[in-house]
Amino acid sequence: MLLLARKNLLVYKGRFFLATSGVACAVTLVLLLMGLYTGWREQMATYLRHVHTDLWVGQKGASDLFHTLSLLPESGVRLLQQVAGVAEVSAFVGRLMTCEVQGRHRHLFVVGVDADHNGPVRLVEGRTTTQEGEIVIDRVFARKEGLQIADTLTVAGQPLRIVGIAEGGNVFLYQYAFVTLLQAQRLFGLDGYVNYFLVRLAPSAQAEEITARITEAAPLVSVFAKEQFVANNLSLTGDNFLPILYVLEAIGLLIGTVVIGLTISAMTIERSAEYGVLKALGAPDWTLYRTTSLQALACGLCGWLVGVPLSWSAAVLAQHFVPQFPFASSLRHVLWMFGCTLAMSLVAAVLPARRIARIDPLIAFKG
Amino acid sequence: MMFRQPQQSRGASGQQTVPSPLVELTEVSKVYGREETAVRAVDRVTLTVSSGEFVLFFGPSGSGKTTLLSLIGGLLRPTHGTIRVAGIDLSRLSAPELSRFRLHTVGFVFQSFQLLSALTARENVELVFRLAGYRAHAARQRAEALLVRFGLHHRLTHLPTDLSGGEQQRVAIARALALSPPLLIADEPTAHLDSATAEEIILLLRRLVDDDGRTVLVASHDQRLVPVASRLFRCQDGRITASEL
Repeated sequence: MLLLARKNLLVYKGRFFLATSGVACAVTLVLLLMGLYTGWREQMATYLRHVHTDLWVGQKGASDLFHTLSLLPESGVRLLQQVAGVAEVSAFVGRLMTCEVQGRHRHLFVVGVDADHNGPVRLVEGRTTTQEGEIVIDRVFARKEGLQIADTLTVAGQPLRIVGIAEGGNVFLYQYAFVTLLQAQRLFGLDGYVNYFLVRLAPSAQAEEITARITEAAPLVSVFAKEQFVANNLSLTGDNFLPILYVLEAIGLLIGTVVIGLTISAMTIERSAEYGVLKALGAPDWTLYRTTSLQALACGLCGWLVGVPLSWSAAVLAQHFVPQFPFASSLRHVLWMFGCTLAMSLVAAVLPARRIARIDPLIAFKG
Repeated sequence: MMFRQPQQSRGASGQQTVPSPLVELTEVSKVYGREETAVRAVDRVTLTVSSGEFVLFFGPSGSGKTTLLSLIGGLLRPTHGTIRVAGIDLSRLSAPELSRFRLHTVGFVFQSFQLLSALTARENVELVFRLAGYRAHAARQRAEALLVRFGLHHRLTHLPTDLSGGEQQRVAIARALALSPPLLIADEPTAHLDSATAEEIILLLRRLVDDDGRTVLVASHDQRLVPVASRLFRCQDGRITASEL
């Protein structure tokens, strides 16, 4: 039946090409969405993982940088330093701010840095150490806005000169930027306050134990282990974006299925008489279903083969025109899409199979 | 395989021996529609055909001869009566069993040849071997050998559209004989052929009876088939009106 499936497909080269193209577009769309989501999550976690801390200590009820506001008195640092097992405490001040770039309003997540290890992930150009009136921005933001070293942008009415361009701070919706801690507190109007304390543990200390001690010493704070805090922040993508992503992926897969189904159905209808002859000759129905399934699989797998590299090319193109476009492809995505393509093809083969079931073998006796 | 083995055996030469009679119809009717609109395409037909006979169902269009062949070939189920072919009661077979019966016990030759247009002559024959479970290489070799036997060695890789009517019908006959079925059913096999080619096909069918000992059932209104038939059933309004030896 492979012989018949192959020959019949090649008779309709144009349709086969169209079906393959349709599936390739569906595969590309789904892989781009998956890559976008994974890329976003990876980039979102990159800076938070880079921050040199074991515990994030925030105001009770605050759990991340985006959903909730945490305000703690700066004096709390002394309380934390007294907790046994705490090696080092530093302040974290950061907030999403609107800035003005050549007359345009843009968003930046401005972080006040009080130590080198809380600064940008990797410096690309310039320097990381800032003085009053200076800022380090992310490369994606720089590309997007056409900024370079020595240019100026205005945050909360305060002109800041760009002294460094870094990478690893693209969170898709906005990018991280870094100023001094004092500068940040002034920009945010947070004199005497910080958003979080970053706690480093002594070498032998257990995170759970120290967490319990901190919450006992300061009942109005929440303490999160580093990975838990990263996960809290990633829930922004999981809770809000993932359902939308699933809907879009489902639409993509549906389109692929419909394209294959319509193509193979059209071929089956045009070949009804020949399928009738095969039935008359003694071909059992399942062998004919196998023929249409093989045709559907051929369309699907060719579409997958084209769609995978097409999605990579599309991502490169997208990143050229939209620098903040996060994309991370993985073998897992490619294999998952392979499984989906098989499923699409087999589901698409149901329609022509039903058509075959209705074909009367007596059609062979008609002239 | 169940369709050959229960009442068939192979002789010392390996040639199949088929019990007589090969085909038995008892009070077979086929009615389409119900009550006032009912049409009796076949009306209470009883007949037997022995192995090695060349039987012609002769009659005008609409006389029920094609329906009769469809019933014998297991493509239709009768409304009344019983049909036994090679000792098998067709009414007892499920749809998949009927498919296997058609594949192994009956060879079909159709009026319009009905070759698969995307396949070459060899592939059309090869397909039947593949349906029977032959591996690709064996199927190809057997298909080629069969086509060579029918004088089509130079047409193996031609598509049906590149073959003449006679060549197409010979490919169709080769396809029908691929699995050596004891019974060959041909519906108007000369209808789309010119005179010379039609005579060539008639002689070919006759040789299958004389040389191979096959049983051939032909439905036709072509007078040229009458002299070569060993038995002739005249059909009229779904009935056998006369039987001639």
